Amino acid sequence: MAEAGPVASILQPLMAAAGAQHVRPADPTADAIDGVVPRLVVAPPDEASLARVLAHCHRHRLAVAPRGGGTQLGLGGMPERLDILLDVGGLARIVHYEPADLTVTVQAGMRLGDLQAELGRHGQFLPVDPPAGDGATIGGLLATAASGPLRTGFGHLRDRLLGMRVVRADGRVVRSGGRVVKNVAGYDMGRLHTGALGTLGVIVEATFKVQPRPPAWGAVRVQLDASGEGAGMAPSGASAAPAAGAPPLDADLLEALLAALLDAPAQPVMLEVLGPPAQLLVGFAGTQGEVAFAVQQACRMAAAVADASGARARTAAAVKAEPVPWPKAHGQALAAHRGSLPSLTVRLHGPSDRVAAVIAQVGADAAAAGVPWAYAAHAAAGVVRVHLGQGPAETHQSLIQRWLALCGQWGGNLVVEAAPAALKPSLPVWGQPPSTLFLMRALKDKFDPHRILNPGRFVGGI
Amino acid sequence: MSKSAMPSAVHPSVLARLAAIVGPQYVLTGASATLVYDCDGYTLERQSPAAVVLPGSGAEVAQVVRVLHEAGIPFVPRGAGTSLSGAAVPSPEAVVISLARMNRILEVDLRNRRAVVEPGVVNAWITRAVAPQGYQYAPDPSSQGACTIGGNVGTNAGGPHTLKYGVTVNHILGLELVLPDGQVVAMGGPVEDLPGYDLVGLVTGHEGTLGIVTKIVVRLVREPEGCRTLLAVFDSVDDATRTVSQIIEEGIVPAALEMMDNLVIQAVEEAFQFGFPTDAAAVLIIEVDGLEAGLDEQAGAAARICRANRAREIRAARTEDERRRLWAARKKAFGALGRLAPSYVTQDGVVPRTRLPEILAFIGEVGRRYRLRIANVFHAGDGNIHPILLYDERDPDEVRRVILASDEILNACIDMGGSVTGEHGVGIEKVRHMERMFAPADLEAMLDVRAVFNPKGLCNPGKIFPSPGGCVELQRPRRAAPA
Repeated sequence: MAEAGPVASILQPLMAAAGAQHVRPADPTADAIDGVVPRLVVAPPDEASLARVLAHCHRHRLAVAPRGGGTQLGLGGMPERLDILLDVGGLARIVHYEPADLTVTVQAGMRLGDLQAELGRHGQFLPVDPPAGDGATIGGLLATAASGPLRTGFGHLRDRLLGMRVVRADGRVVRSGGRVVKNVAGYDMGRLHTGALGTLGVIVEATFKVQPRPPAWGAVRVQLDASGEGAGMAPSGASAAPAAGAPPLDADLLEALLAALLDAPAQPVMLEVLGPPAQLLVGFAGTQGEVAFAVQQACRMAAAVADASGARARTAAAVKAEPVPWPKAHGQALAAHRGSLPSLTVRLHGPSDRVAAVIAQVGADAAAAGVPWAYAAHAAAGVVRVHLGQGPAETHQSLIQRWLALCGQWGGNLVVEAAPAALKPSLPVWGQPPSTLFLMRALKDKFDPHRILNPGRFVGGI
Repeated sequence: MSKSAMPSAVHPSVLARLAAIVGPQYVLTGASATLVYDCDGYTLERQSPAAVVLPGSGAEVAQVVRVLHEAGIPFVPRGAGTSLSGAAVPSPEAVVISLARMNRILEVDLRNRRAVVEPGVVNAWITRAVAPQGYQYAPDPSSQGACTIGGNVGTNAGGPHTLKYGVTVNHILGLELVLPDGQVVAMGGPVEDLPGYDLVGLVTGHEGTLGIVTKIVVRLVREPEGCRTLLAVFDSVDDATRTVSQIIEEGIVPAALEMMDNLVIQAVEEAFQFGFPTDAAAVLIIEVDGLEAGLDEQAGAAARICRANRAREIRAARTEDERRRLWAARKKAFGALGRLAPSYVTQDGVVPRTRLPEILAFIGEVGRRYRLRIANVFHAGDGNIHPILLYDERDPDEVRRVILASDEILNACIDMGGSVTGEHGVGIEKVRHMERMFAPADLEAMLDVRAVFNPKGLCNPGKIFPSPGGCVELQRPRRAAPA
């Protein structure tokens, strides 16, 4: 499937732009995107050489895919063309960090784990916990707008972004925002590039508002099907079994629980639903006193909600809420988001109050289709991530189409986060195109007129 | 349509079409009818528009815009007119589109924490509508009793409590936008993270240059269970600013952290008789909020830092009423300053928080050097300074010194890695500063965005960006209005 054009013709100028030692041939496996193998991999050591590389590609219409940690390369449509894999990993420095300002400026190729380690030395952190883990780079996290359970309490990464440096398709380096926590001088260009999958420019540097690490963390696990098949086994979303044995989810009970927890004075920093079998992981952060209070309150609340639904005797008896150590609960939530089923990952977006109903429907559909499934949801944000196991291509397609329509009913949408390359062309990878697609296309035309940046991989074939 | 002695710059046939859309009583022309639209909270420049139109719905806005677009007439969206940077100041041939009539809260959905509102809804109305159920709309600009959500989206407005809760853009989920050619588009929406470019984030802070926002989905947040509000009194500005840095550095995240210096304390005390110590060099208002279970610990930690930095007195608001009066005094401080001088101009710079002692010392030095009184009341926790330069407009030399001093202060902000505007916007006031803050390529990228949305430049022309070749002249400050 990979089409490797003659490499020699483009090698020399790229070596001149980035330095000979920073250009190498592509590895047909490790460097491919959806099976499409780039002609060369270029890893510029600094911003200036990265800009020269892009300028060259722009002039010669070479298609470029930026890569950070490579943890989310499966996201997006099949590359229409791919000449250069642009490895941003050479830009991995902290540019400016003033702990007392709670701001950090970091190059895009820095891995999240390395950044967190440095921030941690000052009792601070960037409150993002992407399922892809610490190997993801800052640029990759921004480009994919990745988020994890902590968004419930600390907001999305985009809400932490203060400024950005981007190399435009033609090699111009552009700065926006700044290094201060409030700044309304000009358009918020950083927002435009966040979640744009590198299709409007290559992010090379970003400034964030960081957070003092709360002194205490705590969590509560609520098992919703404790009397069912899953009662005896150690529940783990990562190793979630196929649907077969799990009892059906009581969506009303789950929704009542979510509503109560979200309305409580103790606001959770994490509120994840995972399964099957269904369980809820609720996290809190703050002072020791706050966390102790919040954990107790959540346990009491779960019991009260279960009692109130006493009419449905089976589920009421089945609900079991208990405090669990934060690292265990958080780790379990992340593992469930990563998933362990090999085939497909779909992210469904809807209103928070539909999360329970979406999960119930997805479960029923998957079970009816006989496809193994597991899920993890950011309940407050209305994001349900569904992992599917092996099944016939048509079954996968029809399930996804069905769920796209389901999300559409509530003004939501769906994204196929990972799928076998062979299946991608027949899937609505980015769900239903938004009505503003014409504006998005016009922006793309302005910022990347030759369509060299990730052509074909973004929404609407951008 | 109001009669006027002077014919409007807008052709009568266009006025007739506009009147047919919104009703004749909602098209204003003539000097007396349009007088209040000649400026906003930034009063240094005044210009009556050719006409004012007050549509009653998004559909009417779209029709009005289509007519103006066809006729090639520029237009300026306007909310409550509280902008401090002239974002709503028209050019003489422009039509002002006032969104004041579109002031309904259309939907409140507490379970999903959002409300859908029209742009003319006043900021404080949203919180008022949901407070009984324990929710609030978090961004709280000082003008929140008057300013509209549409205007807040335009300027990406801030406020004291944005330190913990974020600014407007962090609380906007979706927008309906009438493009400058009259097309209506919906971006974002009640559901988060929809695939595609983040147009909501891009449009928030556009100062009316990308279109006219006609519907807004805002995020609501749970009201904190409780709060503790402290007033810390200092004998030196330096001690107060160091306290600010240290509170942030030690990992306390206050809901608000505000500072007022001696001049402001005097003016506010005279106006509100709150009981501020008028001999103090500076006071800090420190508010922590959250679960009751953690409040005393947080407030205690903040108080310890104040004392370590030689605070001579720390008072805690004992009742909700006392807290409300303290905040009322803070939010109305700008108005109170009118007592100290015939005129004043408010600046809106930002510096990294650790540079606060430095910039405050610099402002003091600039004041001495230019023989000006400069008052300071600002969002210290954010590093967002509001130096207020007092003067008498009848003294031309003092006016000249005010302009020079303002410029020096803003340049110092840029040099410290900050910004010339933290929350008031660029408008027309700071157009010339954009070229100091940004390189030509940076501005080109922004202009590329504007060209996509607003290719003919009809929508709010002359704002934010320097026009090619045209250098905006130093304006003569007159009276400046409140934040």
